[in-house]
Amino acid sequence: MRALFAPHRNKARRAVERMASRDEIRAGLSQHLARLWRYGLALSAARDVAEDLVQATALRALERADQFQSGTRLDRWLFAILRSIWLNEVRARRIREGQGFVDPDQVLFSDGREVETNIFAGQVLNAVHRLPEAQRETVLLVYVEGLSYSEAAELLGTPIGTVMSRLAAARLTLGKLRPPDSVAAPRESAK
Amino acid sequence: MTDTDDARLVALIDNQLDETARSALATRLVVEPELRARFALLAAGGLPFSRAFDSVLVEAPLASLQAKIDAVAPGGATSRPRLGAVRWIGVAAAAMALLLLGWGIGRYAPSPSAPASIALQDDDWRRAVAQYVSLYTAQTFANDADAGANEAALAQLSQNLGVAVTQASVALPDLMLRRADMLAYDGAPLGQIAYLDAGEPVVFCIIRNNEKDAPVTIETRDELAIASWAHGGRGYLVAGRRPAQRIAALAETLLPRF
Repeated sequence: MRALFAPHRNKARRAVERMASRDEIRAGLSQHLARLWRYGLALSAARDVAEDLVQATALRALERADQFQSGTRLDRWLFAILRSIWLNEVRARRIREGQGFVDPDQVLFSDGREVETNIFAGQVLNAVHRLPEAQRETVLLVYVEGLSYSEAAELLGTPIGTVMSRLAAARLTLGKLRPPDSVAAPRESAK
Repeated sequence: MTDTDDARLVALIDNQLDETARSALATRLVVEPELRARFALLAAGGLPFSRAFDSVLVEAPLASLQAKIDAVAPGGATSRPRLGAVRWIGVAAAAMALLLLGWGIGRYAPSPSAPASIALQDDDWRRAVAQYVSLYTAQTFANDADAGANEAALAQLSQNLGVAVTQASVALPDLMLRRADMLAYDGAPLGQIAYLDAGEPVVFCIIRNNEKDAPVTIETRDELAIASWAHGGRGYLVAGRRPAQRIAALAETLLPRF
């Protein structure tokens, strides 16, 4: 008798688990919306594309809810989904359609001259934006999102050495941009 | 100098080397001036990324994004987003949108849900200081005069840090003041006073980085005792390969002066 009913019970349990994990993912999506959008923006350099990427990520994550391992980092899983959609679908299509990569001379962020307190933030964003995509993404993941080298390597699907050399290349470029008087670089003034 | 050296130096700066690799590189840094210059160049590329990108977070169109997610059916099956026809509105339009975004920078306080990376960022300078202080030996300041820090160097510290750094305010009983240096971490001015305490280097650092006030905390990392606190938008740190109680006492002496 038990053998007869067990499959039904298992099916019911799996359905309950799936619902629970979808709820978890939905909550996680809401919690990480801004960071997902920022990652999409760093990859695509276009606000609307970033927004579409977040939506596509939400759809894909909910479809694949049963692949998420409860207890692991949900934000990292969502980042990996967003990245895969960007690489395999959006970016690939843009290149096919001749829209290619981001124009490196394009100034994406105002220097913020109107906002004295944050001139340097605008300069940093622009400088990072001008880096090659692979370096820009690695800088965001390690220095902004706080991933360790090995976590970044896993997400990027590269050896750790590649993560390190991308960061080194980015730092060498950015180090040259630092104004000589950067010790006194404008920051929020201390009160 | 190789690409591998660059990668290792970055890993040292980012505190991602294991102990063996770290000490091997530290030894080379002591004897190879070219490697030291490369280290400085790579360190200079460490801009305040986290702070800059936090200003992007507050610009996220949260309401619109949440509405899009809510539109995805519970099973995730309907309302497929429009990626089939990704709207490419042209470089000019995107640039305009982001220009507006840039203007928004600074108008907003950091988001209340600001990520933990802010704390990590503030903590990073302590980690960086601890890392290079751990390279100091009793000989490091052997060639510096024992006449105390140069007045001009102290004046430069006072100016950059916006706080009075004088012979009197940094004097510590029983410690020999060896030198004062102006450094920078992540774009923030970082002043360092170096002493010898029973022959061991001890440093007192002040960084003007707008961190939140925090009481004194003591920790020990790799035999290095570190006392740190924050007050008035500045972070303070005392560190040395000395007993934790000794470092704590020095911190307590300096605390009321700043």
